[in-house]
Amino acid sequence: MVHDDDFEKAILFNFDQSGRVSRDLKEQAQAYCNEVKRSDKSWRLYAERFSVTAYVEVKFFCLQALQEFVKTQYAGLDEESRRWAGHDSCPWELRMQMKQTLMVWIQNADAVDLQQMPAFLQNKLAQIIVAVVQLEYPDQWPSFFEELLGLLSSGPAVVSMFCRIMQAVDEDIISLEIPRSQDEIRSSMHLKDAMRERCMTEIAEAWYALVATYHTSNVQLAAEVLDAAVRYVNWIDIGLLANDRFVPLLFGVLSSSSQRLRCASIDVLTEIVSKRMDAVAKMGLVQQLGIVPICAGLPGLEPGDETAARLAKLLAVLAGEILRALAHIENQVEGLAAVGLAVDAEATGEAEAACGAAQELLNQLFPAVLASMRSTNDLAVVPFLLNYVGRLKAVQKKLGSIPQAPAQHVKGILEAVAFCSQFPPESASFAVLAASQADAVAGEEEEAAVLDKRQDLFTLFRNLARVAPPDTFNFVGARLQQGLAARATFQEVEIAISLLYQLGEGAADETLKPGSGALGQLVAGVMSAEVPHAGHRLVALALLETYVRYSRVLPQQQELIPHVLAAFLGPRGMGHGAQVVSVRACYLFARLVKLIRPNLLPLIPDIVKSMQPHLAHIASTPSVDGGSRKSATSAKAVAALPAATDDRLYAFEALGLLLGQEGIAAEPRHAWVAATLTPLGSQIEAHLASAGQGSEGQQAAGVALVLQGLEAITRFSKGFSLAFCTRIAPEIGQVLADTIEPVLRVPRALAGCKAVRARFISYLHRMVECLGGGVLPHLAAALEVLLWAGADAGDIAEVTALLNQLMLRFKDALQALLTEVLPVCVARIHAVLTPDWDWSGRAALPAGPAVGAGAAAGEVQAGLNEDLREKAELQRSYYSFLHAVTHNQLTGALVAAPGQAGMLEAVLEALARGAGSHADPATRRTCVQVLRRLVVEVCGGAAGAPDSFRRFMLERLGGQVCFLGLLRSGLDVRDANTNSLLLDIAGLLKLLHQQCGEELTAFLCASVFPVLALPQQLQEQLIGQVSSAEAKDLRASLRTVLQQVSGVNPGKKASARRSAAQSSSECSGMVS
Amino acid sequence: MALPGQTTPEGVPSFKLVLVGDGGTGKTTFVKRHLTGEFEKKYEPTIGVEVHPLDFTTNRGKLRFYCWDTAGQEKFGGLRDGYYIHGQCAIIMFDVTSRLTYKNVPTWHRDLCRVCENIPIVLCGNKVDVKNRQVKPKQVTFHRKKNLQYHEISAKSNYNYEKPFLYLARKLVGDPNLHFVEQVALAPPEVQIDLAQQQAYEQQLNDAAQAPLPDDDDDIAE
Repeated sequence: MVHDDDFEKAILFNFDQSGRVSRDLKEQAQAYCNEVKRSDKSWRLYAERFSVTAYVEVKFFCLQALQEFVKTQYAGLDEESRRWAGHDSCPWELRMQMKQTLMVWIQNADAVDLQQMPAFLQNKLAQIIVAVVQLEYPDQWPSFFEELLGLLSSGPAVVSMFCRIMQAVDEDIISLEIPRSQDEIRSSMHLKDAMRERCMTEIAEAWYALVATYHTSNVQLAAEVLDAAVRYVNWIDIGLLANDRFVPLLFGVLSSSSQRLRCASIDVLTEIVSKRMDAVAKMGLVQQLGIVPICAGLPGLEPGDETAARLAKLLAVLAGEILRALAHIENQVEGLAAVGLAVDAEATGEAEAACGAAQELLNQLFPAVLASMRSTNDLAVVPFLLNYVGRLKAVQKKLGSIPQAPAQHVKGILEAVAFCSQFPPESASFAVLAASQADAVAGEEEEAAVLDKRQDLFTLFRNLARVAPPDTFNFVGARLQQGLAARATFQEVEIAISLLYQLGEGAADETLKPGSGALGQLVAGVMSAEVPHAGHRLVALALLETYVRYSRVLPQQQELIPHVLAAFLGPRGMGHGAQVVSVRACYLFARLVKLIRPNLLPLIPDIVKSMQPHLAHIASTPSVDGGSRKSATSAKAVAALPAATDDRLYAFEALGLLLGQEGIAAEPRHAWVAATLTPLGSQIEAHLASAGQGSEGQQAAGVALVLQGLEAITRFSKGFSLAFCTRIAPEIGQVLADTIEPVLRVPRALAGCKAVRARFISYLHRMVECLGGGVLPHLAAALEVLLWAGADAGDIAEVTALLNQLMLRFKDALQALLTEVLPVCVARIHAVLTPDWDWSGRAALPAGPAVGAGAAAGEVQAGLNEDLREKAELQRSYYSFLHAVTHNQLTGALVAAPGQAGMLEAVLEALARGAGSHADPATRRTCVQVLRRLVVEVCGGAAGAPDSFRRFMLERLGGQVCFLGLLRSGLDVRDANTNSLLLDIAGLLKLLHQQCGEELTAFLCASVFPVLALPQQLQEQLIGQVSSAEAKDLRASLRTVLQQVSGVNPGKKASARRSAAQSSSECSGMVS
Repeated sequence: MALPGQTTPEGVPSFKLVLVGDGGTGKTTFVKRHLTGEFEKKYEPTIGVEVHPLDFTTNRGKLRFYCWDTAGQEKFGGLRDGYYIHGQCAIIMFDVTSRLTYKNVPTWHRDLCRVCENIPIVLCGNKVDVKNRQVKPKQVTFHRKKNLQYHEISAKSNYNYEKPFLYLARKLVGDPNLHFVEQVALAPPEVQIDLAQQQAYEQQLNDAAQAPLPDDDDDIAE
């Protein structure tokens, strides 16, 4: 027996989130509710309770329970429910009773004022009914919709329930948006077929009648009806809605005072227009609807009104559909003609008529499309416009010109694009700095929104410029005239300049010719003008970008240069109060200088003078985030990442580029270069002295200043070429060389700092580029600093990489230095890659041991893996370093090193292990190549090879590297790298044979081939080829060996591998 | 609506925020990033929902979301859509590394809208820090059909954490210029997001926003 009070209390406790109900009580309440649900007749209880209770929570719970009941017991599908109920499914009478109860509720909706209940209760009730419908319509309950329609006259509450039911039918059974199972899809098809066949006509009729009845007296209800109807448009006979009763009603409603109703009507029209159908039929539909004149004639709407946004979507769909149909019909006719099929005159005539009609409709629609674009903040019509302009381009290609009407549209589109791209009149954008944080946020958000909006608009604009260049140039000209007028707003100036910038993408050279080029004239106008609001951040950025984009105009019109330069060097550029502008100005100035450097020669004294304060400021204020921001005019918004380095340093590069050219008098130049470098040197020195002092913050600030100075020197040096520093102006080379000694002190003092090392190495690279051999005397000291005692794997790899570059550059001129550095370097490497290091590189493979570890363990593992990865990286660098040594005529440094006997052994051991076991065939190959060089070098000496080396050659190289190493997996015979490796191994074998002769073949036959279990014939072939054949033939045999040992005979392979591993462990350590 | 021991301070407007989405999409992680919410939340494991008070300070004063994290509901227990009753705003979450969770978004949206008509809703694609994402920005179109706001977030790295709340706050307060004035205390990020990658995604998203909605029909003939 369910006690009334208990039931309500239990449910209310269950819902409670106030925390006033204890956890125990809540659990009890939940258990109680679950128990009640187990009674098979409980639906009656819920039905009664639903009607009686005053609490919405209880009502909702009851409906939830009823819904559950329908889906389980009623349906008789659920095993568990069946067990509870004790029979297979709900008896027929029970079903009838329940359906009756539900229908009575709907019927009495107005009497009990169901509409006053919260919407979620009405919706839930609709869902329960739909759950029954899903089970029983049409087979068991064919009259459902008839019954429902029969109730509609009872009043608005029933109508509202009808709408909710129709909506739930769509959401729960039909809509394709919700993922559904195969069975559900089948059931949905079944329902749709039945509805189309039995009741859709009546339902559509009811929709019409209801909207007609309520559209003035109860706009909310009329809108609900349309919101339900819109869901059915895409699968019912379109004639049920697109007819001469319904459509005029929809049009009439467009002028309703209710926004909701207007929107609902527009949505139905949009859905009708976008209904999928054949192009000709679609044209027929559009014409029959008469929708184009209606849309074209609608009064302007207030921006911000939701109706405007919906209307924009309708216009976009409508115009898009007409354009699509037009293109389709044209293509059809052309397609038939193209494949040589006869197109009869009548068909052609029809198609032409259809095309003409479509064109006419588009012409009619265009003003409304553009007006909607301007009045809404919404770019719904832009995709249509992009397609339209694309079509114009095709038409132009075919006909040679654009017909008159579209040419008019082009002007309209240009206007609309400019209008929509402009910053809003009440702009939140601040001129230099925001007055408050709130202003800054508002300004940034507005800017981001405008830039986003511009993406597609500017694409459209550029496409227009390609289709109709004169129109576009004239348009931009007019805009500029307006924008450069004294009373222009910053928005007008900014958009005019930005549009001019957009024109530059892919602009033809002749348009930029001085005098005759239309674009060139516009550009020259801007370059010489006093632009209003030029100090505004956005205007300043747009101008700077534009100056650089059109810098090719400047060499031809040099009178413009001083004005342009002033923009970069003055308070509107590098001196701008807004960081975005000053940073960008530095970068853009460097680009400008690169582009027109010779033309700036006469102006250098002024430029240097103007730049000096900026340079001093940049050097003394290292920025944490000097990243380049999105530029105002850039169409593709450049990622605004925090840059690794300060973009302002481009100013130093720019100055270097200016001074590093011929044609400047030697004396002032020397003074300028010195005046730039001396303060930087002093800055480094001063802060280096104090780098170890003060608080942590002070120390970091000191290091930042040192690095900034160092980086400034590096950037500055980029302007000076080798020829310049050595031949043309050696005195400048000397000034640069003089920086090396002071700079060397930086890594010496801050050896552990990775950033310092990286900057110092890039500085060294620069000096090599500028001074060439002039750097050599300083390198020993530099390398010594870099190979400091605390160097880790990454540090050493950096040094070997640097040495490789130096060897490539200087070849045998590096001999002396290398002889000195090599032993240190090798010792450092072996201190990191200790004897227990896995030389096969497998430990550091990505699919390493981290699998299955927990989160915390995973992190530890990640750290460990990082260490392994760095070491593996060092191992590879080591090999490529040795490769560079042996392939740049520098082997002597390795072999003939006096008093470094142990070094060669260590190197050979490392190489032999890599060559014989590394997982990566390319790495093995590097090792084999180095070994070949070393064999030649060691055996070629006057004394010949010592005995220990002969043994090494036979056992480690001939045995391990050339044959047994093939057993160690990782080699795939189909891999090109493996094939190259085999060729090098063949070469090594032949070389070994030259040195060891029959001793080698005897060793192979006695100790190696048996381990591999090679067939006799293959053994003989190998022996023969080692001594006489070409390396290529030998490689073919080696491939066979590799195939043999890897996988042809797994059993044999396993045993072979075991013994190979044994013999490998015996052989290793022979040299070390 | 306040929970015991955490009465909403006087004059601070509060809103019931419903957080829904498939299991495993990171709803709980998301709310737990907010430290005040974490300290004050009352944990009720048996009732299928946790309510976290999340405070934000705006230029117009403080406001509080009571965030209903509706995780872990078995078939017959819990109140399921009953928890949505009186919801004033919602976040629907999916996991960008799982297509299925995005596929189910319409279902969550439907169930939500039946109980709470016309509330502001934010769709959130979570876990954008994960390299191997399965739902690319241009595939996320649902929000445009339904006029929802969409944000890509990464609960673990705090990426865009405040964005959904900012949108909802603006809608609920009715001030499009509302902004948060204090840094929200968040648990420190557990992963670093690859900003470059994310910017590329944002770009794709922007591009996608301009593209026409996918349509089963033929492409528009040029």
